Amino acid sequence: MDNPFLVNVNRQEKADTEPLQDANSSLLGEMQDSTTRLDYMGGVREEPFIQTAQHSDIGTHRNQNEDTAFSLVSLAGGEKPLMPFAISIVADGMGGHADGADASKSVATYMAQNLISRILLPLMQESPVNDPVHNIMKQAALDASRIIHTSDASQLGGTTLTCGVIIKSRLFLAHVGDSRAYLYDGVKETMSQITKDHTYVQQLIDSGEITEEEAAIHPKRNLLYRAITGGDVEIDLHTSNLPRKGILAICSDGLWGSVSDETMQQIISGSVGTLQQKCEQLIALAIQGGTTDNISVVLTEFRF
Amino acid sequence: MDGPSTKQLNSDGKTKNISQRRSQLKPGEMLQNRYKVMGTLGVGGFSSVYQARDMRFAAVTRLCAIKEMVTATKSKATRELAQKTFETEASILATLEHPSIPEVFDYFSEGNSYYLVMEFIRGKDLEAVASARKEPCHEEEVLKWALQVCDVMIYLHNQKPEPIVFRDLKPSNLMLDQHGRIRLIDFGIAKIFREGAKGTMIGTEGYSPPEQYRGQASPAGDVYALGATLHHLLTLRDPRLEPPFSWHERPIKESNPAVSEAFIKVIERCLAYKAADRYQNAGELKEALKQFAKPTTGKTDFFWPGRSAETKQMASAAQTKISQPEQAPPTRQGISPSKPPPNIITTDPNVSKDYLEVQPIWAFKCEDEIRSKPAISDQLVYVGAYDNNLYAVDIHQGEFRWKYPATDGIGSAPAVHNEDVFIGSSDQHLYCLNRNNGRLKWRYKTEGAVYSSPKAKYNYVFFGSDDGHLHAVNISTGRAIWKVNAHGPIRSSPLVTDESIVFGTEEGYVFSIDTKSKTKWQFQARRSVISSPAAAEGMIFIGSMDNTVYALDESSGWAVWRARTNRPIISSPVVHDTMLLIGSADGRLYALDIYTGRQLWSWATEGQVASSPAIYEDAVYFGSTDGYVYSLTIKKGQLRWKYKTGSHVISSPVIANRTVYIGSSDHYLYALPL
Repeated sequence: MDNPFLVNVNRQEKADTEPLQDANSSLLGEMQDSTTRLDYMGGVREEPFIQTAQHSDIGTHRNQNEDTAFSLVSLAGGEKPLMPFAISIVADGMGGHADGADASKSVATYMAQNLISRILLPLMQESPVNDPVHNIMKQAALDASRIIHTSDASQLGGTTLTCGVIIKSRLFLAHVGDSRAYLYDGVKETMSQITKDHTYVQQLIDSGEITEEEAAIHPKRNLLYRAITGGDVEIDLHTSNLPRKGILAICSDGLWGSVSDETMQQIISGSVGTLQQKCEQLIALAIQGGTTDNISVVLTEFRF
Repeated sequence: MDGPSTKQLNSDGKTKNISQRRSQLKPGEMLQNRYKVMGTLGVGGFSSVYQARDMRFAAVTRLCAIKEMVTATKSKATRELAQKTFETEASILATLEHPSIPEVFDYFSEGNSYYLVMEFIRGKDLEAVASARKEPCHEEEVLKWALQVCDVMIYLHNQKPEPIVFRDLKPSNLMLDQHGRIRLIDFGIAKIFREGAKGTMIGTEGYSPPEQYRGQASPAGDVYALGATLHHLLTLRDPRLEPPFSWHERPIKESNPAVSEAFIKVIERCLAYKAADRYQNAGELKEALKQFAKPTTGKTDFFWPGRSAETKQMASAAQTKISQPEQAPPTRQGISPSKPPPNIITTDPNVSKDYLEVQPIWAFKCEDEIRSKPAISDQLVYVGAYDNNLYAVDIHQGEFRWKYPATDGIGSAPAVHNEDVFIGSSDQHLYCLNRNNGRLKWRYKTEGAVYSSPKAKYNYVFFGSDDGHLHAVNISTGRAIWKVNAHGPIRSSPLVTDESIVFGTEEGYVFSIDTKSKTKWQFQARRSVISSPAAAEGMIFIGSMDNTVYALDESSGWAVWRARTNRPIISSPVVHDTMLLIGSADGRLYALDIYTGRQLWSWATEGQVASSPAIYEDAVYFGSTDGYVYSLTIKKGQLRWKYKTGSHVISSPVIANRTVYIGSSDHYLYALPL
């Protein structure tokens, strides 16, 4: 029977004026048993599941790790579970010496604090705010940019920012720079890049002046035209409905610059190893691939 | 790997430090790396106003007005006063929300200057309107403006805890926008009124009341300035060129004999020398004006498929403004059509036309306005009218087939399901009729008018009522399954999917309930939600009377993004690929990106767009209260054709059989070619 509004009509029709309070008299009364049975797999009810793992490595050529990776998951089970929630952030600092590391750390943590207080806490109190998630993320990113603003023009500290928020089955992304977010769709078994690099070479690719292959060895491939540097900046915002299962991967260019998308997908989708081991494996591959940069990756696995 | 050792930032990425700015901005100059100056709109004592383009919306030309205050003066006191005045304006404007008050977008300082970024209003101020006239303005139009100014003054004078006094009402501060509405500009010297407080005389000689010269400002002073403004418009005699307070020397009748005694009396009382002899505030003045104004010119209302007593009045009067067919359309009422009514497109010969003119395939006349959306079965078009009838008309010829009389008007759209057609009426009933012959199968009574359009799914029909409940009724028996208390009238039509039922309420909530009638989530907009939801990509899209389009996550109810229009939204959205289309009472149809809410294009009509758009192939179709039915290309929003009906088009189109079916307040149901 594919009628979800199936109902015991004789019983319902008495209620001509008042809403039916009795839970047993629900529209789905007769369907509930079979649905409930389907929910059990091997005796255990399948609950929403979400977990993260991350690793950030200095690499072999630098004397400082200017990347910052942040991740957080909130899950509450029970009879009335809270909506699954996750934050994952990669910020890749620039400017050399302490400036880059400071910038990436302060932006990532400011962002996280803001998202916790403006999204996670209302979510835990089950009082969603009127403000759209996009507006909250954009405002947090702009405010984060302002806090690294320095009056000394010689200080060139700045950072990329790629921040993913998952609320229930929806992904929200705020993105500036050339760190990337990939989504592995566990149902279709495909992986796609969901952010666009704000690099000079990406502009050249978009305008058809060079190919992807030429971009990979272009001398200016590290030149950004957009980053968090203290002033107002345009933030790319994105949203999508997540598949029933999959993995969100956010990484710095240290990873994607030396590990191909195919290899990345192989590791991420593989059935071998824990999520943490997958992170470490990706970093090891990036170093093997000869990256001269810091490498960071945050993986968020989900199943709804 | 070789290559750059560290990331670099392109020099453009840094905000330039602009410390020394001259007082006058030139076209092309950038502010905040965001606003590009296009030209100067005006220069005042402390400030200049520029037209600028917001470059953050690179794909579209989004214009704004930027007011600049330069604080280059050496005198600290002068600088502080100027800055304080400017901040007063910014903070007053930021807290106000009224259709006649421009919206403030941003406030910042750069170098020695302060900037206020506001909505750019297209139009002409009343001083420009008056000076372009050879003959004094007509009483009727001046009265219409006066009532609109009263509305916004009432809003200001009723601000809590203290009234706001505008202090500088004059024709040049009243903009007549592209929709013919009055907008109040320049809050530079507006003041929060405190009894007995004195300040410096600021205002404009000629329009300012005598007491303002002594530094006193009160709502009665604004009444005086409005009186002076009306006097100027009716006589075309500029009070700034006349001795102060010399109104009695130039009676209105002398310049404009057509003005009624009643209007002159009201203006004279506004211009009384002693504040105590005037109307004490805009509310009193409006009451006086309403005494002799025709009942229809005052109230600003919004058009929607339902019709309250006020809108009924307004609609019938406004109808007279739209040119009616010169000869009576040759269709007999409610019986059968012969020929379509004459097409009354009026075109400006100076404008080259790159759109088509269309002629209706047929038109069918009902006995009253059609405000709802028609529905289609294979052979018939069904439409409800305010003459209480649901009509069934042949889809090809427009011939009358049957009608079913409810006992009150129909503002709800019919739903066709299997062999039935469902229709709600203001008579509080939902009717289930045989779709072929209109025979009544059953009717179901609620405790309020039914404007919400029914949605049938499986064996159930769902609809909202002004009784504050969403009702689920068994299609076979017409008996209640359940009803859910939404704590406010429901005029939005429910979106019914396998998992949930989503609808909006007059109290401003959007509810998602599951099939057991249990609330899954609720979202609160700032004002009523009459618009009906659409869904795509796991999101629910809906408009609100708070001017905003919301995208909500379908499973959690969390808002993903919002996009603001300039006026309330009654129109319901439709989705085409990754594009959302929705109308607004600001007169525009908007195309937005469904993932970000970013505007892709918009199209301005001369009326309100309460009609919900319909899409077919590469075109979108909708109506406007300017009387037209429009067809635009969906990609770029370019006009394909428009067709002028005899009155407002609040009805929404439905497309079938390569034909657009849409009703109009001129009583006709039109069949137009695609």
